[in-house]
Amino acid sequence: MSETTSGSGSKPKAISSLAKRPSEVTRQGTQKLKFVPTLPARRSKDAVKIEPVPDTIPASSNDRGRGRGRGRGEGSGRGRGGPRPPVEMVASGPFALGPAMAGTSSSRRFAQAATPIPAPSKTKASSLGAGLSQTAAPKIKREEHKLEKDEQDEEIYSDADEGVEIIDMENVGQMDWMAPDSIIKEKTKRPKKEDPDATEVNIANALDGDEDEADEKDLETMFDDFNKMNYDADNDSQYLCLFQFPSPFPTFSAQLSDTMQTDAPVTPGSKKVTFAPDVKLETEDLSSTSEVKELDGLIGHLEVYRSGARKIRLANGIVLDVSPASQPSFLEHAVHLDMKENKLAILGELFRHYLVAPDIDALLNAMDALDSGSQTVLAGEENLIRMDIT
Amino acid sequence: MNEQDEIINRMPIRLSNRLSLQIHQFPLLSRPLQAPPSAEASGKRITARIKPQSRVLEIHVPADTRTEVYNSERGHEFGKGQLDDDREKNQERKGGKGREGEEPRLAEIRLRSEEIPHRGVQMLGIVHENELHLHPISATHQFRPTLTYLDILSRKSKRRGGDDSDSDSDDGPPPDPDEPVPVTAAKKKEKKATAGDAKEVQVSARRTDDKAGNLSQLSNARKEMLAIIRAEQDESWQDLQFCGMTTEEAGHSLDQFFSYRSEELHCSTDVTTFLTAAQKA
Repeated sequence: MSETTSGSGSKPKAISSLAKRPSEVTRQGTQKLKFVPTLPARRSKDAVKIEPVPDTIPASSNDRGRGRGRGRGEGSGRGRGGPRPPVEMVASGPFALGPAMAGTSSSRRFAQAATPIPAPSKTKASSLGAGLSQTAAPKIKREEHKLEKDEQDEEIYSDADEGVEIIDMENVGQMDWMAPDSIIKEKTKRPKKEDPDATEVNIANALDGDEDEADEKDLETMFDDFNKMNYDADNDSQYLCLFQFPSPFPTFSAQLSDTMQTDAPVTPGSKKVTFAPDVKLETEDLSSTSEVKELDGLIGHLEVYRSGARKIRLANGIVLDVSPASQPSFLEHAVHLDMKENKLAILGELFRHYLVAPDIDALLNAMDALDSGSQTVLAGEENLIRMDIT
Repeated sequence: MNEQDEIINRMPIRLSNRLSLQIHQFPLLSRPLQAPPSAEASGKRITARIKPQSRVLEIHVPADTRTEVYNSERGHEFGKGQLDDDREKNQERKGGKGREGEEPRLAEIRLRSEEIPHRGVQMLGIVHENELHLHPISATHQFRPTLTYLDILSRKSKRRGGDDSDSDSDDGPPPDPDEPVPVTAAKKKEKKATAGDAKEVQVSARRTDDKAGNLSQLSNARKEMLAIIRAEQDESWQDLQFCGMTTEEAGHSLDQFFSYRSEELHCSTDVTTFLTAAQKA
């Protein structure tokens, strides 16, 4: 009886099954619950369990190596069983590692990315001899930097047996152009204080789970973004950013001549004002009725503060705050669609998203000024009590 | 903000709107959009086409057809399906030169676009020579692969008969509640009703009456939707020349993006319009 074997009965013991036997359940009230912790699959245990089962196969490091080999579609090495008996119950995959190997997969090793690719059309020659191109698929700019940190502790695995190639799981992405991306592991030994190189490179931290850090890092990374965009003179045109402005965007017009000024200010910015989400969007080229005034000129300044804040200051006292928006993890292209020449030209991949919102202080002050300006000012009004009739 | 917050950098912002810019998002893609090296070696390139009135774009990316990563049998199967699908929708690519042998093969991934409405005003900004250049974005499109050839294939296998007990195809979409119930189903219902209660007969009759009564009302919306879909299908594709990032044309477009005149533009609104316009709307 399980009750007797478990001693006092109320003391939970780790047994392998959670099934309640009838003797343990009492109709009224107390059920003797056996709490069973679910043991995580320990590699050493798996290897120990599975090895005694196939008696015909000696449990040796060879088995582990064979199971470990991740050749193309060869699974647990079944295909190689020439001299081996057909019954193979060798554990394959990461659990095939014996206790000696258990430490390796917990080590952090970043897949070494190919050198960052500014021009993604760089094609890699596929070595047809090996069947796989042995080259990594290109990555979009944002992710490259994460992978640049490479810990130099290479794992030395046991020697490969005949025909078995040992491949680190994190390197699977390197094997072929079509190979899947490995999940990037977080560094455990991340230095507490990041060196200047790391801050520059740590651009994708907005996606990290740690929220407190993320806020600070967002400002930092924005700071570095703009600096980087500035000083990277060779490639400065490759950082495309999306700014989401509140609508309506202030209307601008060229002030070349008087006739221009008296035109109705129908600029592309104001066109977007009137669009509710379910109304058709008209692009400049496709709509024949909208007046597209070509604009080209200076509209304001972007101020970068030491605290990391960014403000956009336009004319007429418009002050806007710039903050990083949530960054998409997928590919985005900025594209020029030229319908006259039937051309679709890719200008580049979007690097960052920014959210622009009016600076609240400036906005409220301006609203106050607007409200007070619309009322006639009587002499000595400040001493009177104003009745709010709104 | 503290008052001691000093300005480190101050860069001018310039605005231009010469081009018709769009943002293309690829939610299911985390790698750059490129043809695989094996396809490029055999001369295939990324192509694109557009239906201007319906504002739908398609980008065709050649697929990697090496034997290590491509299943040829399925490729042929799907290729046939795609060809039929194209013929049905009247969008067959004219001049199918360079086809592999006689049988069509699914050798490209078609990404179809959906327009996403904008919230606020989107602007593309590039920092160039310590100046921020802004340009409004007219539309945002999201691209996802279309697998319409699977519809054709599942239709075929369904037609072949009900002996496919282990076919993957399901019975197709459930019948529209607005459309009149197909006659066979109605007959079955009546048969069942006569076997059971008298009440059941009444219920089923009422149901069909209701359907007949509301038919015109409910299906107006559906009629509009169907009309839109049909208009889109009837419109023909216009081919576009796809210029990747590194091509000359793209460089030329990028040059056009930047603002060149350094005069100050006159602004006719101020910051309060953000609130007042929202109040009016």
